[in-house]
Amino acid sequence: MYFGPFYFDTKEIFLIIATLLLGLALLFDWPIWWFDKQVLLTIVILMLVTKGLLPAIHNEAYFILALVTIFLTLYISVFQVVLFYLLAFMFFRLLRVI
Amino acid sequence: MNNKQTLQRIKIFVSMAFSFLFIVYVAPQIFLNNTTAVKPRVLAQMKIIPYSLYAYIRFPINKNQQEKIKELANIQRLPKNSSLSYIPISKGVYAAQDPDNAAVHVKVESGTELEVRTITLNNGQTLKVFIPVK
Repeated sequence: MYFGPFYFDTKEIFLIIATLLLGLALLFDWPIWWFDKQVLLTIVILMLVTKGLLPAIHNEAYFILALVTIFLTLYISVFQVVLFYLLAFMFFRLLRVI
Repeated sequence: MNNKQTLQRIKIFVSMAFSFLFIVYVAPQIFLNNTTAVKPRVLAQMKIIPYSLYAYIRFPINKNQQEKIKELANIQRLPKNSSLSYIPISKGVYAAQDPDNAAVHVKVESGTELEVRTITLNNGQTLKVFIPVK
């Protein structure tokens, strides 16, 4: 889908919608079961930045990592989650996944 | 094509497994209580690295000299606690005890002459003793 000169694929649009929803949830104090909204928003912003830097051919690796990272926010601290996310990207690069 | 895709998925899994193991086992050794703060012990070891490298380059064979340089670097890196009240115990030598951890800090004025003696305790432990020269 084109928005002006920019092309967005379906996954990117859903990610942006999720970010907007999270922002709204934080703003209006909507409850999200189990998840910490602030942690989720932080992680999603990191994901948006990394998605912007990755070409679309690496979508599979990116989305598997994104799902696992979001799931991990339930169990470990935000610092560990951020570290996990960045380290996984480093290993992706080392093992030539991306 | 299928094999390539399988290999790619294995790599993704391995990357995430390594990262998870790192944050569970290695990160707690480096970071303090899952915060961005690095442990003081790690920082102190990192600060010694240039001195160790210098010691290896300057004295590649002489292990004693290497140890001396590293020891000196260690002494220079001790935390300075300004709240301690030092009592003179000898000419140019002051001592104070930290009330928090009962550690004894010794301060030596620059220019103070010290005699270095190596003694061996009954249990076989070797210690280096610094005696002020009067």
